[in-house]
Amino acid sequence: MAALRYLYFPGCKLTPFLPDYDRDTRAVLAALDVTLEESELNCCGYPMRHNDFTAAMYCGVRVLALAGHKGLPLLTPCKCCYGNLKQADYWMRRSSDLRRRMNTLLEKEGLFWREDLVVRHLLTALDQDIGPARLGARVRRPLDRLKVAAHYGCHALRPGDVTQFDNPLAPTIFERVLAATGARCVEWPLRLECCGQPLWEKNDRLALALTRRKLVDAREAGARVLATACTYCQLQFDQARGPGDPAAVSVSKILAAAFEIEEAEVSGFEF
Amino acid sequence: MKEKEIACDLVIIGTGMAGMAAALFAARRGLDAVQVGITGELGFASGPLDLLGVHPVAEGRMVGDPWQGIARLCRDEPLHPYAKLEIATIRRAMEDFLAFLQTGGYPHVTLGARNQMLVTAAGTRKPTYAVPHTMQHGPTALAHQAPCLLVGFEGLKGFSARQIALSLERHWPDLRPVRLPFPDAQGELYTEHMARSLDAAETRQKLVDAIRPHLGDAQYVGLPAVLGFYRTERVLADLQQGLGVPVFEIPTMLPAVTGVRLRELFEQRLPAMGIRPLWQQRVLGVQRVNGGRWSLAVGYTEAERLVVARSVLLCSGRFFGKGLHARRHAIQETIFDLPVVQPVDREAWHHKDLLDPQGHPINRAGVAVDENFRPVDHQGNTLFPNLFAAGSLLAYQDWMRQKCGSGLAVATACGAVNSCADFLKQVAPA
Amino acid sequence: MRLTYFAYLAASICLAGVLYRLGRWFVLPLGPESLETTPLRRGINAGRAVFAAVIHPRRLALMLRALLLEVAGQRQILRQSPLRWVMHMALSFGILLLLLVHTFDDYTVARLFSDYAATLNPYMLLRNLLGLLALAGVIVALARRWRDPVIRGTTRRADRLLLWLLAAIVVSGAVLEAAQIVSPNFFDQMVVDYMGSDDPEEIAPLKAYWAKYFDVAFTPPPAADAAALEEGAQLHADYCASCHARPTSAVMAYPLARAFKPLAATMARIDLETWLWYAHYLISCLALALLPFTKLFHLLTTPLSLMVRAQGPAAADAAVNRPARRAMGLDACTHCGECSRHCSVAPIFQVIPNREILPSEKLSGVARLAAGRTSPRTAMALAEGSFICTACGRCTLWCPSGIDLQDLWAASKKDLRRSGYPDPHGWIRRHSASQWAEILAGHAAPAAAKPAVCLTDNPNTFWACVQCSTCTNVCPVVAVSADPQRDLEMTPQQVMNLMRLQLKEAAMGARMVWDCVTCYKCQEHCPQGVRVADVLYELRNEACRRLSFAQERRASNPNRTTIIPPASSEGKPGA
Ligand SMILES: Cc1cc2nc3c(=O)[nH]c(=O)nc-3n(C[C@H](O)[C@H](O)[C@H](O)COP(=O)(O)OP(=O)(O)OC[C@H]3O[C@@H](n4cnc5c(N)ncnc54)[C@H](O)[C@@H]3O)c2cc1C
Ligand code: SF4
Ligand code: SF4
Ligand code: SF4
Ligand code: SF4
Repeated sequence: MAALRYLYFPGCKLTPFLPDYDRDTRAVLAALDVTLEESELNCCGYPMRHNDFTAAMYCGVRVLALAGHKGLPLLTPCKCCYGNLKQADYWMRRSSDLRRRMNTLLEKEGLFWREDLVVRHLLTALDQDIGPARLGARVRRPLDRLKVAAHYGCHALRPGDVTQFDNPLAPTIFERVLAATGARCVEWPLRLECCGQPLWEKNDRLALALTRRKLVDAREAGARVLATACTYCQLQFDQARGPGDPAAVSVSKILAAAFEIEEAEVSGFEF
Repeated sequence: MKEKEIACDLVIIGTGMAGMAAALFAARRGLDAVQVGITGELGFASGPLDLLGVHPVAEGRMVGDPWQGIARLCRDEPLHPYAKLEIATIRRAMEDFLAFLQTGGYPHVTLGARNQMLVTAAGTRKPTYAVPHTMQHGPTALAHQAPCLLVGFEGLKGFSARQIALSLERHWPDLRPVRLPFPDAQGELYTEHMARSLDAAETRQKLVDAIRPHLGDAQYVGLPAVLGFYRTERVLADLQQGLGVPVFEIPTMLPAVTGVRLRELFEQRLPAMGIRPLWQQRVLGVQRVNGGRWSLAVGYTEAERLVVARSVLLCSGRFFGKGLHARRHAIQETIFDLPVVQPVDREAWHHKDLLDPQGHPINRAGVAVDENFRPVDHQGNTLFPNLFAAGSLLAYQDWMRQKCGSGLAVATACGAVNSCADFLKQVAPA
Repeated sequence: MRLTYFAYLAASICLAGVLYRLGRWFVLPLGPESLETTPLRRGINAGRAVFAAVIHPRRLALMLRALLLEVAGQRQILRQSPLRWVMHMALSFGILLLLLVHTFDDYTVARLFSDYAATLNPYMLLRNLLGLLALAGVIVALARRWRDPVIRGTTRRADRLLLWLLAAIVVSGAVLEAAQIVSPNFFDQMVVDYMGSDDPEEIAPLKAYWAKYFDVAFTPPPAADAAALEEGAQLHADYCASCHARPTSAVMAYPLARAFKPLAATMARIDLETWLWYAHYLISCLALALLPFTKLFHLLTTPLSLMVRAQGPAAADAAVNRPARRAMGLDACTHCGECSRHCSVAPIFQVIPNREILPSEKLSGVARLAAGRTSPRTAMALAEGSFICTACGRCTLWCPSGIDLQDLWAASKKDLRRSGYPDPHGWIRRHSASQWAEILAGHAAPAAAKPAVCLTDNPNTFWACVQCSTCTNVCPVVAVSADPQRDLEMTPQQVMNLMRLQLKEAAMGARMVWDCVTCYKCQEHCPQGVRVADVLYELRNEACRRLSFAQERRASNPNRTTIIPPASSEGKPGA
């Protein structure tokens, strides 16, 4: 299999707020012989979507154009980044008005938008490019005692026609990836619901109500760990976790534990 | 956009009751099937699965034994889709279908050879074949006219316990209505939210505590259909244990939780059984390509991929499902532009009296099929060897008045899948 | 000399200015922590912190390391670009050493070396070299400000003026030195002062010697026979050599002097060198006086900031010290623009032309807010820029002055909220949907500001809605509200109904629209394919646009009656 190479897009919040997730992701991908190229990329535009569509799109399109310039597919471990990059791609294909405005701005920097650029979320890369078989082959310590609730969240999954992530109503991609480690995925009613983060600092009470609801549901389903694959979700579960709630753990940390990767600090969780 | 291409043996168009049943049967038969359609909860409606409730429609006579009813219907209306099937086939189709629901954790209950009488949110009684296990005690309680507490909730529109009790006074004098606030909620209520919150043990306990003081001599407790979403068995068990009497649901207005439960059940199980879902997408264009295969352009608003299939099963429903479309002068089938059996002109679509219990000619319009469920032209000639149709799209039936919606969908889906499997076997894969 | 008064005046202004600005570090309200303390306590605690750092060996070592590597070696600039590093090293070391060996030579080199004379080598050579160095630095800096598009966009007049001021000091010095070299008047004056003679006969050989070897431009040129030159050499050795090296080593001034020679007579007649002297001296005094009030102040503050930064991020500081640290950060900014070049959200500036989006500009806005010098309009702009920041921390990583910008932004966002300038979500909370419908109705943004994709103006977006209420049924926000009608004002389905009726304004300020958690469930489940969540996004976008237009208009015409509610009940911003 040809060596996989991506342009790594950590997004704004990852490195300052979740250095763990960043480090584990790099370690896991390195263990799978994936090369991550890096370069300074701007915000994906997702946070801007509340305020100004055009600005949000320009941010996303510019990231796509920079990746296109390098001729590499993008890989991001954040679902909101993934979502907005896909939104940018979607609307660029569909709105000539947007294309015209974006191209004028990009031209100033000698950039252009490429229609054939591939955007991957960590999970789609693990599932589609690398494949559960290769993940399974790399597992050193099967996590068959782990009962885990896979949290899908919103922006990678929906709107399905835009994000092309997985079946928007009955996705299985996260469970497939987790199953490769030997972990057991629980069925839980709220697995496709929102974590509440988008309202954080806007309406904290409401945001927490949404988060708490999910944590309680995962607990009732018997999960000890709630698996995330998104910077924002992880942040939100971390700040809303109460006693007895399952711990939110990134997919990268779970994989790192199964791969027995040294650098990943997995001691905090009983896998 | 670069179109991705998918090849398969069978494409099922539609994710209503017929489409889902077809997918189930196709998976059971090991067919390589792709399913396309927008899944709305409405198609699954209020919960009860009807086989045949009324026949003849003109007399409005309720059917006691649905199997006998079907036999009579097939004699009276030889063009009816049921008449294309052996009774044994219909029976097996229903059994398979119910077994699937059972293993999915959402069992349905029948009385075997008898329809059961179900109380509706409008306070009417309706004969039906199978009900979700959450509703099973309702017909029994009604049959025995047992003392029963009927709980309504403040803020839930379209469900008034008092109104129901009033309407049923003659048939069920011991039905006692009470109106309670729903735990942790004020203002307008929505059934899906209520059901989801009852999935949590804490809310269940609060509900039990709220109902218990009103129990009195009641031997049953009826509630609107909100008893959980995924964990219906646990919700029901907890409530019955907490209250000490059997508890049952009454169907609510649409969109109803019962529909969503079914939809999600299909969505969770079918892919695991081998169905390749292209849900939340529709067929935007069809073409017959080399060797008579069908090439379907599939996407949400514009084509995102091509699906090339050896056969197609059309379960696209009627006007509501968007399988049929009423143009100014004629009714059209929306995907293949198949001939539609219909009254000659618009004037004749409806009878003079819009509320005519007999129904209107337009209700029986639809796509006519041969004995293998393949659409035919107006002369009765089969149009394509590899195109099949099932469900409410079919002509010569009025499922709404005959009260045979789900049964028709399941049975014809089964028949169509059988024919399709035979066809695929005959024609060696190229 | 009277000029010295100017120097004293400038020095006093400088000193007073420095004290004033340092004092403000303990007064400016920056961040919520400043509400819980007093200037006195802030001062005392800062003193304590400094003391603690100095006596703690490890922390002292960290500071010294920063002093060496970052203040002296400026490696944080080297990391950015070698060219910028060369520029900044040339500029800073050129100017610093010039101050040392030239401006304040009386107190430095003259004390160290008893035979010091400004016109002797190595001092003359050194001065000229340093001048060249500083000038080169200024030129590169100006070129950078002009060439880099981001930096050009953020450069202010003050940035350029300051560079011109530095250039003027160096150039006036060089021209002055050149004029002095060729000046016969200057020669005459010195002969009187140091030889004690005004006898033309006696001076003639020296004149011949100085005309030939020191390029003094006498009119008429003195006869230069070998004998005269030899005698002149003797006189030079006796009277001048101890203070004068040949001007050829004045590498910057000497070529100028050669160029001036033909004009020397005119220059002598108008006594240009005196004027030049005034000019050089006064410009330098001006620079000194301006020091605390321009970014020249960073000569002091940046090293301090770097040493403080070496101790760790602001979050690790005691709460009481954070406001002062932020204020110091504000003063340590050189407006180099590096943060804006790396800012994650800088591209947004291309779409929304609000400078406060860029960190280097936002910083001055924050300073104005803290000083209470904002108008509602500028505060609004600052708030818009501030809440766009994603706290990615890249500015902090790149700031060569070691300012903890991330901490500053976190604090200023809180300050903005407190002074009545929240993010749009905060604004909307102030009124009900119907009140907003009235407020925003008159402020439809001009067509130019329309988004590239506009769903809400297109009836096709909604015509398919059959009011089936599926969107409401699946909405998690409706699900967790105890009373949707009270908490959310309307449900998604009702919003869609208003849209179908073309009542956009009525929906724009509704709680539901702003409490939407953007989960897209409604859109995914809508049986009719209505883009419900996208529509809610667009409603928020449009309200944001109208909000800022409303503010613009109010600013341009305060008598307008359609009013955005008063900024805050607590008084003016920053208070
Ligand atoms: C209001 C209401 C009440 C009901 N009450 C009862 C009841 O009491 N008892 C009972 O047993 N049953 C009830 N039903 C359910 C009923 O049995 C079924 O809805 C009916 O049989 C129709 O099923 P269907 O699958 O043929 O069509 P539909 O359910 O209409 O499904 C049509 C499918 O085709 C898809 N489709 C259409 N065009 C395209 C295209 N171009 N590309 C891809 N996909 C397409 C649609 O997305 C949809 O998924 C009720 C249904 C409704 C709507
Ligand atoms: S904050 Fe730092 S990086 Fe930004 S302009 Fe000021 S000194 Fe430069
Ligand atoms: S923290 Fe804010 S201002 Fe700084 S670089 Fe990131 S987005 Fe820009
Ligand atoms: S789900 Fe769609 S059709 Fe139904 S009310 Fe909402 S927007 Fe309208
Ligand atoms: S996107 Fe907003 S309105 Fe739609 S379901 Fe989610 S929270 Fe509700």
